[in-house]
Amino acid sequence: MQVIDVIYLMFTFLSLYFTILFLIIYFDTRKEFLSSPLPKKYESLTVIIPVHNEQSSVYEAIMRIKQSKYPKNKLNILVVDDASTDNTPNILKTIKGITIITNKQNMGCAAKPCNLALKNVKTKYVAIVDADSFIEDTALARMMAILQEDNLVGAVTASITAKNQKTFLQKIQNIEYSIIVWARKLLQSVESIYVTPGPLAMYRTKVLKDVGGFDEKNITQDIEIAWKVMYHGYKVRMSMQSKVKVTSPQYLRAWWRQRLRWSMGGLQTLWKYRHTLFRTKYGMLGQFVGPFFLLSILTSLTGFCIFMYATVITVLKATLAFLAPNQVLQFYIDTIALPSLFLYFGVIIFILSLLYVYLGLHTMDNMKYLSLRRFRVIYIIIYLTAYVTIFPIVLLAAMWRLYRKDMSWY
Amino acid sequence: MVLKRNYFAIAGVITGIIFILGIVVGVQLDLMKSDGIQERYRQTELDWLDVQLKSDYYKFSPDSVDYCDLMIKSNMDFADTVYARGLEIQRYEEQSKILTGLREDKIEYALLKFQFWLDAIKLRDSCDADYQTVIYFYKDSPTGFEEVYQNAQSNVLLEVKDKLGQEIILVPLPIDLDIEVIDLLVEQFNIKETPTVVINEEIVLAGVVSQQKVIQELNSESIKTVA
Repeated sequence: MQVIDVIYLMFTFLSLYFTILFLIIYFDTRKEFLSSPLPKKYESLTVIIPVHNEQSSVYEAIMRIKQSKYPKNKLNILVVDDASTDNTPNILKTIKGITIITNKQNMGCAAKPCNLALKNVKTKYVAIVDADSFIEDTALARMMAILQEDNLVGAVTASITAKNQKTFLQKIQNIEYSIIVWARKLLQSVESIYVTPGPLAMYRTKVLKDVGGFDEKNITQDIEIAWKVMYHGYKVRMSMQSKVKVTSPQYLRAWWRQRLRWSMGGLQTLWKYRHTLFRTKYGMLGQFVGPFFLLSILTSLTGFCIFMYATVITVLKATLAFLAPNQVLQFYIDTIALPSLFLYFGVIIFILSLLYVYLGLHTMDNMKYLSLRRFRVIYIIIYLTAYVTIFPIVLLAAMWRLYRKDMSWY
Repeated sequence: MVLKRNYFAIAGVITGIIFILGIVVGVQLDLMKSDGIQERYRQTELDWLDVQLKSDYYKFSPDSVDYCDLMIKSNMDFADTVYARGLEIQRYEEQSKILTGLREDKIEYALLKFQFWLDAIKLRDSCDADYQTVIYFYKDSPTGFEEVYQNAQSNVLLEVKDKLGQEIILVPLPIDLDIEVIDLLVEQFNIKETPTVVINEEIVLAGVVSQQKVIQELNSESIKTVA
């Protein structure tokens, strides 16, 4: 058995384990997916919106919050204008009933404006909403209900869906976002939601202040804060029925920058909390979130290396086949007629992956998240093959950037 | 509802079962292939015994005047069988991922081929035959790229054999089974890599070579070494 064979078997085991884990959780908890109560009591809530040059979306984003099914006298909107140079300041002035904090100099990241705003928050609960995100009318109320259920819940995340689907890339992302939302809900069952995405998240204000607010050195403060909340013994929950629409990247360049930032932030967070890995005293953060994150990175890179190796070998074989064209057909007939252990595992992983994606999309479809209608199968196939293959490349690029301490992702 | 912490254990158990099943299936598949390989080795040994007995018989038979023709034909047929079986075995082994045994069988098979090659040379000299010998040196346990190159070369040689028929005798020999007599050949022909092809014990072609090149060298009288 060669080294590549051993690596393949390890990769197979990990892939099988995580796919089976998610499937078990799904079959055990699928009835809870639709459960989404409204709050017993509407309590005061502050919504923080960090803004920097968002003239095209900020008005609608704020209006969606104002139009929420939430008592107006309990809802405070705090906008931090982080030195916008476009028409954003003028747009903000036209909106009544909001508080504006203006920075004269751009702070360079979303964490700083959020922390600045947090100092002014007096309410028990606080939500963060991106200026290019559009919440649905019951989103805030449903998230608050989850916070009220359990005092140990420190943060609640929402379901993010893609607003526009004009380009091919946006259609693929529609599938991706659906799978992410589904997987995140599954992770809740093992207390392992590892991100409270910026488009919409709600926190217990005391918890957010006690843990020291957002990490201003991390370029994805929304990943780091979820880990920090867990680190301090609080739970992170997800409200499936709280929907927020975001504008997904239209073209590859913007997509690449966004994913690079996510990957770099994820790696930064993993590095920061490396001391918690495999340690039971940190609860699920140490026992599962960190190891899952780490193993996901390793399996992603390993899978990519195996894929590249197999591709090179296949190309080489195909090229050399021309030297003896009469024997090529016989060779492949033999290969198929003589199945190996690896073929067995490959088939099982493929079938389970298909089942995983099918169940995810089926669930999201029933909940009206997946809006893709035409040529859906084609997009799913592309998502499962070409699209997913790009992620390890993003990961490698992110590692390279971090190694060079190059944080200029924007 | 199942306790949340049990998800990990249940997933572990199910994954373990699938994995163990996979290993068991893999071992069974490999055992089946191993049986197939051993059967081919035994068959080749019997064929070789048959060739040798024929040789003895022809020497004492009333038709001994036809000894050379009969033996050349017999050797040619045996050579074709050996090469075809070698390819079959190679394909079986490539699909075996767990069991990689049969070392003794492989050594025995390699020695048999070596003996056949020596006899083929003797027969050519004693009978003044005009066939040419092609020794194909390969590794029994090649790494990733070597395996690809060896596959390509063995297929090339098979096509050369198909084209030239009984004009050549093709003998594949493994160089990594610690067989002293083959190591002597490796040293004699200064073989540094696999695949390497040696034509008529004189021309050494290292790396993957095309059909045209092999045929051209077979037709050539000159002695040359291609590094």
